[in-house]
Amino acid sequence: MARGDIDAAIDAIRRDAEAFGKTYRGRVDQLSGAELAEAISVYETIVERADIIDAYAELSVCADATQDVASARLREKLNAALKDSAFFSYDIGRMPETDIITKYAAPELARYAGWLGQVRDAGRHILPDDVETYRQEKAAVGENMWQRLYDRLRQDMRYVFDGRAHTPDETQDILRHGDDAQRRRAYHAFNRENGVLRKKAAFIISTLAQLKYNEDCQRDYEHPEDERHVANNMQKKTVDTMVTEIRAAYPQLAHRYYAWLAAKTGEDKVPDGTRVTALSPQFPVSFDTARDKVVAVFSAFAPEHGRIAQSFFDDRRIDAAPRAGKQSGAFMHPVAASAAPYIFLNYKGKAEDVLTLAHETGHGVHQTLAARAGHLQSDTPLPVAETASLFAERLLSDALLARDNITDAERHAILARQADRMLNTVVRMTTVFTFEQRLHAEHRDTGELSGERLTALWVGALRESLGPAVDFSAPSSRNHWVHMPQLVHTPFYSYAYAFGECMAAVLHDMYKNSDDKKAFADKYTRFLEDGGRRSPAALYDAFGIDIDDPAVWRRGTALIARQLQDFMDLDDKLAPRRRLTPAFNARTGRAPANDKTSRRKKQGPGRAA
Amino acid sequence: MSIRRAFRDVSRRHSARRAFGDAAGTPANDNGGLPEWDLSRLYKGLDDKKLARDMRRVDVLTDKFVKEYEGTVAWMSGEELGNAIAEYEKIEEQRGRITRYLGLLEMQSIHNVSRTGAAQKWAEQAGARTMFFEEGIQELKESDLMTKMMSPELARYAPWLAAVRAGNRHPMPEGLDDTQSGYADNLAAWRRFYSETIADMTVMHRGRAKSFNALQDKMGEGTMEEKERDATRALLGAEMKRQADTFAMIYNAITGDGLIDAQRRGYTRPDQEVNNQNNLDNETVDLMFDTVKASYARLSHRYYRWRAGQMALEKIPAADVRAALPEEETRRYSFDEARRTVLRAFRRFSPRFARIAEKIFREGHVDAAPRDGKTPGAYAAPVGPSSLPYIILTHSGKAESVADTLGHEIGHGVHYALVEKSRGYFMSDVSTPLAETASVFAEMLVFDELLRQARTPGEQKGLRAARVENMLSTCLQQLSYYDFEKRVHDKRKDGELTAEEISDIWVDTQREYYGPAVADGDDYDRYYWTQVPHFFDTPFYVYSYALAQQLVSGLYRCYKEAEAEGDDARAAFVENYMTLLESGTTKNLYETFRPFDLDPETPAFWEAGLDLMEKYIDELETPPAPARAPKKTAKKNARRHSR
Repeated sequence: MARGDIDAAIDAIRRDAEAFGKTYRGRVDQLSGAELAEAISVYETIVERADIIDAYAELSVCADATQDVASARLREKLNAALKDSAFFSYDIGRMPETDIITKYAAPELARYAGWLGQVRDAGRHILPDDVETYRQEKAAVGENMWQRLYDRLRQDMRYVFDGRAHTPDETQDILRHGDDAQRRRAYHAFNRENGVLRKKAAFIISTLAQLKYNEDCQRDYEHPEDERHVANNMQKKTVDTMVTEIRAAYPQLAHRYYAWLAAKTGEDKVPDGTRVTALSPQFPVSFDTARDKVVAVFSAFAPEHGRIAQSFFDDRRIDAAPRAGKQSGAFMHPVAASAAPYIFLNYKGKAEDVLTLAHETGHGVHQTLAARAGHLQSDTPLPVAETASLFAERLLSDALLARDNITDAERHAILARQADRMLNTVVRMTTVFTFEQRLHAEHRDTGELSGERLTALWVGALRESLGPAVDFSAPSSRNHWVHMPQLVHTPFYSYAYAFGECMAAVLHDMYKNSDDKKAFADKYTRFLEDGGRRSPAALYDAFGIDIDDPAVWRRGTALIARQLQDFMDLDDKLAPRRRLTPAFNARTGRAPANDKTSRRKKQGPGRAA
Repeated sequence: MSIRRAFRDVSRRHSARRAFGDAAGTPANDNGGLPEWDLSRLYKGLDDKKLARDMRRVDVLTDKFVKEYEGTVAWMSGEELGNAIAEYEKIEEQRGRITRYLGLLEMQSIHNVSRTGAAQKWAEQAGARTMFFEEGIQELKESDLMTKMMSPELARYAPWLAAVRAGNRHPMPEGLDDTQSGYADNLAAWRRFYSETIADMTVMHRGRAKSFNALQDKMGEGTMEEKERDATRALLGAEMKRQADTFAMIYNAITGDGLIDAQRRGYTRPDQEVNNQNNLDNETVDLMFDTVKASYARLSHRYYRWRAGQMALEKIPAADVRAALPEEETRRYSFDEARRTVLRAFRRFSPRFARIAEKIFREGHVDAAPRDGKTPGAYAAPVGPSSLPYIILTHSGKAESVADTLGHEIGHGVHYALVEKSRGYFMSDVSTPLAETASVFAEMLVFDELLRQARTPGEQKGLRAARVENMLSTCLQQLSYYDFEKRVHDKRKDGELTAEEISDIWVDTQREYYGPAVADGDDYDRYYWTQVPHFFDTPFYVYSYALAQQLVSGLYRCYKEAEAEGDDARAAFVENYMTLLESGTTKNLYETFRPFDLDPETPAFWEAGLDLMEKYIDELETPPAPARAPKKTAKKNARRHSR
């Protein structure tokens, strides 16, 4: 987009928002159901146009970090332009139930039922207009600025090894993919210098916890994670059930795996961060091969999914080439319902990159299907979105494993990567969630938390989840929370991955065991299409799954434990003993645990939207 | 409302470390026996039973106060309201003693901050419970208040009532108060992040990590070889540049936050809140700004031209603006000598003045020793009428710092002691310009004493130059800092500024101040705004220094004239001056200066202060006492620089 075009577009948005405000401000409750539906559709076009510019601002920073200030300015202008339409979702949210219930009768309104439901749920936490506007302005120099500061400080960190300074992302990348000698040097550099950032990260996390607490009090959220639950259209009960069951399964998941690994390698303990893939050979895969495989998997599941997957490559809505200066990580950006989503990743030709490609394409297919519900309802709650992406990874693994001429080594590589991912999404991400609950609770109790204290909380949570056979003494393990941007940007975001992994496992199991694959695929397509307009509980109900039932989560964790066991059995078959690469297997997660959340949240104009 | 109170709780300590870093200084070599605070007169520590008891007492008094008065302010008679204020003052004084004790601990060492948190939280919560009272007073109808004020019990609190009600002239709209919106902690966090970032800055110096501040202070001593100094400057400049984006972000947050509230309060300009707190009309501030800015050419430009001449240079390199002058003899002062000089200067002015200062020294209220984690800069911190104020600084041993640091802070100290004794807790809460008047006046007294003690023309020359530089930097340069803040805030309205944009404004304002005889600097100078805590901690505070220097220059001229006139006139001046110090908040600035025939609303008032500076510059060019030929000086100097 050219500078002038953007300015003109923002001006047009401002004019339309003003006109919208003039027409509807103060009289939302007086509208008939049909009129309200009309108003929502006008509002939707305004928000959608704004979201396109917002996406542009965000994607430019990903491509070039120096665009930070320019992008912040753009967003400031955009927010100012939207000022006159911000009242809308608030007014709907605040309306007495008796007023809105009669409007629901209008058939025109039915198509917005999903969005309305969310707005109404959020409505209980909305503050008066002037306070919301004020809060929004203050957030620009509050939460948002602290987040930007954290990003900058982290990006400014340099790890010196191999004769030059590396960025944190470069370092993490080498820790994941470098050869042994290189990784050892990176590991030591990382451990040596991590403490510098720790104090500042703790300061920022504490400050954000305080601001969050203040806001939660004001908005009447009882628990620190409540706001995330509302945004995810999720009940606290569901998540608590899930977390309880996963925590109960820790011994069958990570504890058992690491004890097996320690015994097998003849060590007392294995260092935290020892990746499953360390046992497994690497297979180079060209991007063309990966693309063909991924598209084939989607086509085999449902031809329509295959066509959508193909369109990302045909329309060049995927940026996969690693470049100097490009951000690391991978994500799918929804942009807007009318402007197809974009995929961003760094394809380096490793086996895990193929899975990442499947993961992000899974998001992309989902987003494209969900966009049919219109812009306001195209925003799928994260736990559901992560189900779709992880389901796609499972389909890809199936396809790869089903090849006739597959060797044991290749099978091992695939199972290893799957195991690695599951330990991350289910165990690690739940650990992060527990850690966040504890840090907020302690902050509410005692005030500011030091870096030392956060490290103690983190190690405590890790010890519970990974078990006695893991050694957490390396600074890169103890201070790993310093490098988890989701703590700063999206508190309590992490449980969505555990949710997605368990649900993908259950759905995948149902799919494999279903007699009519086509019927399942159709049902699954509707599940994706309805992503943003029905609650997760309702979405899973269509498959006969009750997400509040502990048995469902036990089924998910049991499937995952089984797959971990499959990997261990295969590994035992191939090699009765193994030697672990030395203690520098510093853990750096894949996309979810790493620096990039894998699905960008739309930056809507108001929290209620 | 709460702004005023927050101000009272935390920021009432005035700093001598005007907005340039080098002046802070490091310990002299002969620093044996530097005093440290004895806080045991207040409390023996955070676990002192007395502290817990005092906190409980505040809680009990607060309970009683809330029970008795909540919701009744409008119904009280004048006498009842007056008595309630007296009770409130007592609670606030006791609470203030505790919060200020905590503040002292934090100044002693930044490491104490983590330990004082719980008590600070207590103080904040205790304070919040009585907030209704000031709010009730703010909401009183004027006619209602007027009737009540017929009662002498209430009338005696008139200045305090005015201050409380002034806070409400520009209230936040309903519901948008920071405490209600939940953003009260944001600004404080940014400020703390700033000071922690500054304290944590390190550079790699000869292969070892070294504290930025320590190195900067070492350079500020002026004892480094030129080559080493330039290398150090380059090193520090590179580090400032590296972190400039972070500082820009902090500054954007702080200025942006202020602008949002200023707009909501209906202020017409970003500095209006500070002007209100200072009891000044915007017009008076503008008049001062315009007059002083117009004097750059005849004062700062002229001084640096003279200085360049002394150094036999066309343009002084930025690194050398504070370098020793040729022929200048510098004498180091031990702390004991410094203390005696200050006391002698005070005694010559007024024995009563000197007695209070002596007591401050004697009773362990001065902390001059260097220490890890100690607050940078110099402060005088009052703790309430029940105790003498506390002074913190780091003794550098430089002659001019005897005046502009020790003399300055002790000047504050004596002022606080006088005003708190005569006006009590509430009405001793003087505005910044008046507070700075007391301290800068003390500086002038000490400078005169130093000149009197100077043994050689070289020493005198150094002192005279230091005095002019001190006055220029207190007045003109601080004004250029204010100019910088004005321009940054103005641009910030249109969005965030990049580090480079801020630096450009900074370089422009400094270039305007120094004039053609000083060369543009390097990164150290370009990014120096990152090192000025005032910009981050107390926006628009700096003009108070300029204003106070102006007020003092005018006053000091009166003093000199009275001295020349004879003992009676001198005695009359001293008495008027003591009255000024003791008046606290009972008089506005305009009333305060009336006995001296000075009127801040006339340009002549501001010109008079500038004229004194001009006179001192005249004396530099043509010293009253014989000095050596400048030609020889120049040659010697040229040699020095060609090395």
